Amino acid sequence: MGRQRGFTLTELAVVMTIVAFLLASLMYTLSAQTDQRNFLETQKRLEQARELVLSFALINGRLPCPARSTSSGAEVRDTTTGQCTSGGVEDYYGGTLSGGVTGGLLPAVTLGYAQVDPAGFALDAWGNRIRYAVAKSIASGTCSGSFTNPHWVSATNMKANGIACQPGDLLICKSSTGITSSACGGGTNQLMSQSLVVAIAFSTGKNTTSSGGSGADEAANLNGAGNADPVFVYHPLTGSDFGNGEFDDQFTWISVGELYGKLIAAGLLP
Amino acid sequence: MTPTRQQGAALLLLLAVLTLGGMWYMISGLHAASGDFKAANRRHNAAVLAQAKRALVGYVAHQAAVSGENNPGAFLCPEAAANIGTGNEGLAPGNCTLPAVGRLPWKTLGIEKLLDASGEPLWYVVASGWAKPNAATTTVINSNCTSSASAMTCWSGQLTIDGQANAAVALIIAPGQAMSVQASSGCTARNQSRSTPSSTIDPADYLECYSTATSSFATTGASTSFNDQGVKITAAEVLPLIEGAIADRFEREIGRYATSGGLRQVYVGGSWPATQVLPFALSFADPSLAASYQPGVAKDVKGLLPLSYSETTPTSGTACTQSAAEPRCQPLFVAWQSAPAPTFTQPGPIPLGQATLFSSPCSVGTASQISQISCTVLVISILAADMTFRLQATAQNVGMAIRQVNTAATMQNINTAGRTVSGVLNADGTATITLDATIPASAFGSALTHGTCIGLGIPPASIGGALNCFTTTITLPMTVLADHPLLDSSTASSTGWFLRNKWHEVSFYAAAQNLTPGGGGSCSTPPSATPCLVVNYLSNSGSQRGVIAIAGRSLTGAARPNGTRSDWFEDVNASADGSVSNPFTIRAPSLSINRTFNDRIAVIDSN
Repeated sequence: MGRQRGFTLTELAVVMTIVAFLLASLMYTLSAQTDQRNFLETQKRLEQARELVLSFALINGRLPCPARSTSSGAEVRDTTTGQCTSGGVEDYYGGTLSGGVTGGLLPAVTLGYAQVDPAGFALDAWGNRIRYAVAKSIASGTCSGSFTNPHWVSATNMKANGIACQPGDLLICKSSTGITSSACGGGTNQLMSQSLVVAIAFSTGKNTTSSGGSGADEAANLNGAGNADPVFVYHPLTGSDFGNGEFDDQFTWISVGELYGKLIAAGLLP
Repeated sequence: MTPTRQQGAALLLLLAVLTLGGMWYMISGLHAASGDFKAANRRHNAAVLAQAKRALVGYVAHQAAVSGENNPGAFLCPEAAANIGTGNEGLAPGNCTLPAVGRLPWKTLGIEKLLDASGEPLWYVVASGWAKPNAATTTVINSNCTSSASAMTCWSGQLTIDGQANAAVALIIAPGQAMSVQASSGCTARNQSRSTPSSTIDPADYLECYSTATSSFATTGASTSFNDQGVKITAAEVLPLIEGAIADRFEREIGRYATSGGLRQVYVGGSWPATQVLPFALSFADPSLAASYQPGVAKDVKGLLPLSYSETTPTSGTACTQSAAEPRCQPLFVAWQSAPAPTFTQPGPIPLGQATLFSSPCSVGTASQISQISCTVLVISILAADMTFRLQATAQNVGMAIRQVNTAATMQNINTAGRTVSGVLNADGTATITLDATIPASAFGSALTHGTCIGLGIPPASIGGALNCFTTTITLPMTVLADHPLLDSSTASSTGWFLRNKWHEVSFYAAAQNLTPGGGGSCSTPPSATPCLVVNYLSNSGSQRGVIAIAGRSLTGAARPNGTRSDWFEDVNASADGSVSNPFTIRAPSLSINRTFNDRIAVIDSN
């Protein structure tokens, strides 16, 4: 018996190529599955946030104010006026507030939310902080008679103003094209009929860390500046080749009927 | 055997073992997963159905409280098929043929487009009587909708579900995947096919085993014929929320928050004294019967809301027509009294040129179902001239009804311009009405002959020469006290919803004694000689001048409407009069655990 013949370079190359292909496809599937799992997990966490906000309303007779990056996960609210304000800085719609503070975070500590980062803020499955916005104003003419602001974040006012009042600011549009700081720019661009959304909880999605979420549609969700821009954009996921850029924000919101329904059933209202 | 072959066999064996192991793992995993698959789908469906139900019921309650809503308690229609595939997808139309079957109007509700486990949008059924059937018809929904005796469409139109009649007022359905439906009891065979949803969408391609002709739907069925998952909304579930909204709306539009035109302002200011008066209640009885509103019914400080009416529409001047369907139409409930007799006087001093009153006998009668006073006025004057007069009369039951002064009412031979009417409510519920006006000269016509004047009783010394006598007849109909705008049940009235939906048939009214006619117009927190009403657990209990208690659905199962207070109200409310010993209450701690308390208190006025 002579020397054993080894594999030829060609054979090795073929084998390695096949192995590489197999590995690559496996890795791809794995990462896609991870993404899918995170997506579903985030959706679950947003649902949980929604339930916790509604539970908070049941206990307190009002909606919570958003937290800020400086508040350690607690809502920021002036207990005297009942408004979502602190140090003269209002925050209802999130975004960047004066002094570079990030507003519009889910008040996880106030709600008793479980998955939080060391600072006390609720996290989505991607490890980003869950955002939260709450209605500030009342749509004109919806309350019966006179009313006092703030409505949604004040139990006293909500009871006094009554259950005919509807929110007058938060708006969810289908696209950022044509939107202004107060309107979707046409009824067909409105995902929600006006005056129906009292609170929004959303995740900025996976791309928050990779690309920063710079697409026009995603940018519209982070430009609230506390009390300036209550217009949000939500549509199914799109890739970076989409006109308004990549979009992977995940949304959940509370309708005015759901909120009132819960509070009436619990005997808190009217 | 060569070593090379041995090496190959080992590799092949290893590969075989790995492949088998891998396959075993995969198959066992798949097997376990498939067992959970159905359960997971049902869990998902249950979650979205519950969310949709919560949003829908909440929307109905909120909408019932909205000012201007003419159909409080009505559900939305399903999504308009024409909206499918357009930018308006998810919006409900204003009315629909009932029972209506369609997709859930998520956009109108303000929720996201919820999908079931198979990726289908949710469907929705609403029963007859629970949504607007056409542009002209309004719904009639109140706490009596759970009683077969109510004769209301909101009872008789309810859905039959799984063979159970009157099981629900609405149904939300997760349609599941398209299937080949096998014919079975209650199910029509159909091979469902689903193309891209469009305005021609056919519910039969999504839902199984239903019939709109008989309002029959299903939430369960044989797996060969049925794969939907549904959640019912019953009248008993939604009514407590609607009742809460109605109590709130009553306070804002008719009760304590009403800035004008509310029940507390009916007899204050304007033609009435500045001291507040709340009307008497009618003694408690079945509010759906005419006998409860007829003349002769006793006044009380607690009982039925005094909502009898007399005109076709307020200030129309035409008497309404009594019928079994209109028990509150009582044109002669508020009527002039013969005793004390009406007095027609001429206030002095008489201006130069005016006639001098000689006699003016008045009588009380009825014309076209309206009580009226007729006075024959005999005057002495040189020429026919305008004559200023004051007519004072007593009307019965004004304090047991709600009326407004209508100076524009048609009066015979009385100038329209310059009329003033004022009224004072008396302790017995009557009102003393004073009309100051003028009779136009033209009403007197030509002078009578002196012989006729003397024949009418004028002494010959008072007549003759230039002096003549003239006569005329004036009439003052009861419509000078027209129906109050609160009695307008039409959609033109912002408060018409209350009567149109017959909420008065489940409302019990109470007023503080001192606020009723003849009282001092104020009350204070008990103990006090003039106590306000006591409503336990209300934040300012003891300062209520008037309240209504709105009964929830019958918890005893008694036929409604009825005149049984213990069926209307629970706990102390069943016998409350608002005194310290018999207070009203907004909750009953001993009963709420079993949800056997469903009364609502709405305040008409408080200190």
